[in-house]
Amino acid sequence: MEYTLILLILAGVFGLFMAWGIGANDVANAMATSVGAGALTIWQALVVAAVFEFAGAFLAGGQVTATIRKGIIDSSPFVSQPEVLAIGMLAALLGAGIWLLLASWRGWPVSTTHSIVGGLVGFALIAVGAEAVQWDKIGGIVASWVISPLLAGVLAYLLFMSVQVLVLRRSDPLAEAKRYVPFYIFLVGFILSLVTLFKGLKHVGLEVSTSQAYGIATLIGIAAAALGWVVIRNLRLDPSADTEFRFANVEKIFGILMVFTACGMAFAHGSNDVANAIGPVAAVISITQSGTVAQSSPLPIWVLLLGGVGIVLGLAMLGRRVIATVGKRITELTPSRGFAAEIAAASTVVLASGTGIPISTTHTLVGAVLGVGMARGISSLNLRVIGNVFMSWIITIPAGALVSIVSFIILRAIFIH
Amino acid sequence: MPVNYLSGIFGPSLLKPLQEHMDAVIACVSLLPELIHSLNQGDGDHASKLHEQVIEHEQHADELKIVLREHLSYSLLLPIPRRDLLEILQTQDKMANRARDLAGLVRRRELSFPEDLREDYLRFLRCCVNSAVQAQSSVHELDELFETGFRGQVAEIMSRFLGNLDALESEADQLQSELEARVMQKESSLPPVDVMFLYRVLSWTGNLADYSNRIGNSLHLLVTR
Repeated sequence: MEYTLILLILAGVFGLFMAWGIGANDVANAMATSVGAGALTIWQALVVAAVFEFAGAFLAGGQVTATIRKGIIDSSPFVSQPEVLAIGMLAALLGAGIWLLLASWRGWPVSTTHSIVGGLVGFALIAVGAEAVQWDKIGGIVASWVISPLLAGVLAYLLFMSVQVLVLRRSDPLAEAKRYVPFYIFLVGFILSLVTLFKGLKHVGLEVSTSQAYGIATLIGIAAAALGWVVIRNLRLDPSADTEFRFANVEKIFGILMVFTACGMAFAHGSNDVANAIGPVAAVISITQSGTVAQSSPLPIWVLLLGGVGIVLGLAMLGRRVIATVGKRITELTPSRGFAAEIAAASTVVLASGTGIPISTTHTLVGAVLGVGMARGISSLNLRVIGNVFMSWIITIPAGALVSIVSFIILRAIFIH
Repeated sequence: MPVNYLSGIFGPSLLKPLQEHMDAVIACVSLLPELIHSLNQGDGDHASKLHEQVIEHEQHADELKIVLREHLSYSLLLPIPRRDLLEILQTQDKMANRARDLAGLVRRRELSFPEDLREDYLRFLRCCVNSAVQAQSSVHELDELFETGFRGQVAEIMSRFLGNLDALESEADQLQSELEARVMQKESSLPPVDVMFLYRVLSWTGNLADYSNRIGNSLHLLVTR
């Protein structure tokens, strides 16, 4: 195959750029809820996001990467022309990147995941035809785009109701908050580590049985809860703050919880969204190295690292500003509400990651926020904007596909004469 | 920087503006006793100044009302029914208008009660102002109610507030009918047009307590719904 090195370098650069964009924009959205609630400062959010995005990408990002890499496009029509598949993967990456750049510049509510899936479908349609697309998989993915915000919404609703019944409506909400918040922290640690143990760790060479997974997840949950318990004990509460608003100190305790849910959110985001950047890269590497479309080789770990580094770079360079701007506007989501939205969204996303389904983290988070709103937890939600967010994903797929088709035609003209 | 869509999903908060509106209304209402007092003292200059302040506060309240009404026209998901919110806003608005009209009436006509009724009228007025202030505290309790989803401990505190409002209103009713009876006794000795306006002053003053109670009732609907 010609131009192997150039294709590899391009794949690396485009993948890094995409990861960078995800870090600069999507991660910032995921972290802004915690910053807006006052649970984290911007710098703390950056550190939390960097560590847990990376961990999520590295430990639990393999499944979704595999789906993007070989689950959406049927590679058999490409057996005789592997370079077309490689170029197509590049085109999908480039197309989604350009489209996202345009969208985030214009402030359109666009999902990275939807763009890349649209991009893959687009190039496959042009390069081969409808038979190159694994429509059954696409059907499942699209269904999950409807289900994931719904599921997150229901979870958030239930979590917020539980906190009202267990804590906020009691005669001494402060004492109840101290008692129950560690349980919620346990929940965060338990769910995230359980899914990761079940599905994510094969590529790092760690195989665990079901009972082992439950055991380890329980231990991690208890460790997180214990840590939270100690922090809450040592939290300096200011009784005078409660004269103005009687729940000021209760919210402070939920603020501790929100530090944990922010970690969970970053982890979940990393596990699902890193694939959007590195899935196509992994495909290009596999094709160029073997010269075939077989793609049976395992995902090289350094590609996951590339994605993780890209996300952290984007976060460090641009994400800080985005977190600051968005965080300033999301002050409505106080910790007693925000945590419910974040646990719900993070659990849904991690669950999807474990199953290898690429979903939109932001849409899931919006679904969760809507769930809290339905439980009368948010002072006002703009339904028109929420409608736009969900409508936009219908537009994103053809748009991502279109930009990817154009990229593909150009790249094909350059590399295949 | 384009507007971020995640922050865009959060609509304008309506509780704060509603509370600010109520604060402006109360600023307006609570000037009335001093205004009446200075008229009784024959200090017309001071009374005019207070009258102007009443008008300023009322106008400020109107501006806040318009902003809030605009917000309510969006398609928003609110924790409380839009109708209840509007109802509270309208009652608050009526209270401010009533205070403004009352101030205008007594100021323009330099109206004052007969010497022996002045103390009792001021007591009646202060009782009505108190009930308005109590309604204000209840409106400020909306923050806490919202925090707990309009149920539980806070709702009980709220019910106690509303009990106070009821007590103040019946006290005001009592004082009003006593005063009306005494004005009636003096009808023959006073200029008839003045008598007419004295009844009107009494009735408008009583309205302040009525409106306070109506706000209380609307809030009560929120915690019992």
